[in-house]
Amino acid sequence: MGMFVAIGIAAVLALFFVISYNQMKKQAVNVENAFGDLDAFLMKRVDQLDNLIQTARVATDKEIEGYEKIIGLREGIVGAHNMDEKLKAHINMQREIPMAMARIERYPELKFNENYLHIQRSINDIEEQIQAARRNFNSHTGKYNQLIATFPRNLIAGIFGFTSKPMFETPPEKRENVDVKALFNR
Amino acid sequence: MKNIDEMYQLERFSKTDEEFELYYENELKPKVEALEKERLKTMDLAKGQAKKLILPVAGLILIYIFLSDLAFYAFAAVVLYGAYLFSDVRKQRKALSQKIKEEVVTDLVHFLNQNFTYEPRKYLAKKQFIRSNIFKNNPDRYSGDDLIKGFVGSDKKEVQDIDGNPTKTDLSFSEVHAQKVERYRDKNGKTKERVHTIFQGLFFIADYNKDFDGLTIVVPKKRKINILPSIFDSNSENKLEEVNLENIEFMDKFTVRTTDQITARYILTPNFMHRLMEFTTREPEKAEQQETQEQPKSIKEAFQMGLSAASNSTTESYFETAPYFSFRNGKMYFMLPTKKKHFEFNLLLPLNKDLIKSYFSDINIALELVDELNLNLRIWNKE
Repeated sequence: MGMFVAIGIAAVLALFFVISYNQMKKQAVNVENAFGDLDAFLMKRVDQLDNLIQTARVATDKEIEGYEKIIGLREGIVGAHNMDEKLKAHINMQREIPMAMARIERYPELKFNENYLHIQRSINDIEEQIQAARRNFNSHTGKYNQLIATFPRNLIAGIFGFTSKPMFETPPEKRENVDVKALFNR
Repeated sequence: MKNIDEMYQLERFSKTDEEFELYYENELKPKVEALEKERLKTMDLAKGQAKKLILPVAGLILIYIFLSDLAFYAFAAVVLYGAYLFSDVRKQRKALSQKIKEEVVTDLVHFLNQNFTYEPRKYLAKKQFIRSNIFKNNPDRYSGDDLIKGFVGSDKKEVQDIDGNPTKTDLSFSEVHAQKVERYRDKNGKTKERVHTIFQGLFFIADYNKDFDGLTIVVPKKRKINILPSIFDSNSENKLEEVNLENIEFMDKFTVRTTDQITARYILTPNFMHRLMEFTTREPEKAEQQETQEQPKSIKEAFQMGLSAASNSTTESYFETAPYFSFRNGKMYFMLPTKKKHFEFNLLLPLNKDLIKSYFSDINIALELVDELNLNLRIWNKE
């Protein structure tokens, strides 16, 4: 009788292990997929930024200040080996973008350049898509982190090496409210 | 003078109650008063015909008491006679209803927006209703009226966005009634029909201010059981995922389902969710009006006020039932289940400012939708 109880308990535990493992694995895959989507939008923005700088160079016939830094950050993203590295590289690029844009906008001749304005608008659009993809990624990451942090799954997560994943946080300067009135008057 | 939204410097298209009052006093009042005279004439005719029915009805009662075998035939005869007597009243009522739509509603539509057209007998197509994907069942019976369509903003070349696209938002709406017919067998094996209303109210379609593919639906939480997507056949539930958004208040009120999680978040930004919540949970503006309402001076007036309270509706009352939203391929579908006929009148009630104001509110809500949700804001690429 005692043996049957032991086998029963072992079977329930094994089942719980399998279900928990699958849940965590599935959620981890969701996080990776969400990051894949986010990465695609982030890369699209980097490409557009590159286009913007090239357009500015042609239009002003000058070297754009800080261009090398953008190139370096871009190489950091392309050369990243895993999700964590890529995430860090993107966050670094994210911090640099407002400064780069501000530097480019110092050139008055760009104000009426149609190509430049079109790309700038396209970046604006991608920005919205990035926000959506970022919220999607953070939502999946949050769910995953919650799953592996709560008892008793945290024990199983430890055994199988599931560790918490970082969120894609917006840099502080991005959190400020955008003054659209000022943007239109610019 | 144009109304301007402070935050985004956008033109506001909806009109205020004060603007309506002014327009009513200056333009509509004489027309409404003339129509009220016609209503009273029709009422007099109805009263006269009702008097002619008193004797036949009394006779019917006597037949019922003393010659009950003939009661059925007598009843049929009185009904036919009544129908004959009131046929003129019905005709006049119909003509008056048509006149109200042609003269008052058409004027109101143009007052609210010069670029709107009004077609009293047309309505938004059934295929558009199905495309919105809000309801599980496709309607078997579909009807409606009072189609208003046009655009807000400008289609002029000189008013363009940076990519050369006109800064206008196409908008159309009408009253619709969608029903599902359920066939079943009764105890005797006979096939019978049961008709269920899927939706009755105002149905709006507007350009959304961003381009997107796929489908995202936002429906009131409590109606979750009834609302399942229909277009993707029986596997549709698997194709639309439920989305969990950050706004807890929003998620308490609505269920969001989508074909793509990122698109859903692209549409439902934190700001848009906030605006959607504000739009759907607006405070009623009726309180002040009720306080100033006069006491009835006679039983007739009390009766009319009671009827009026029951049938009159203003914008606020629509939101007693939460609206449905759906976003599909760059369009926004919006449904207000008001469960009543719009731009109609009751022969027993006076044609007055309150009634016309309810018409005004029905049309103005489309413009408020554009204003409150910033549908005419074009800072994204939109073809």
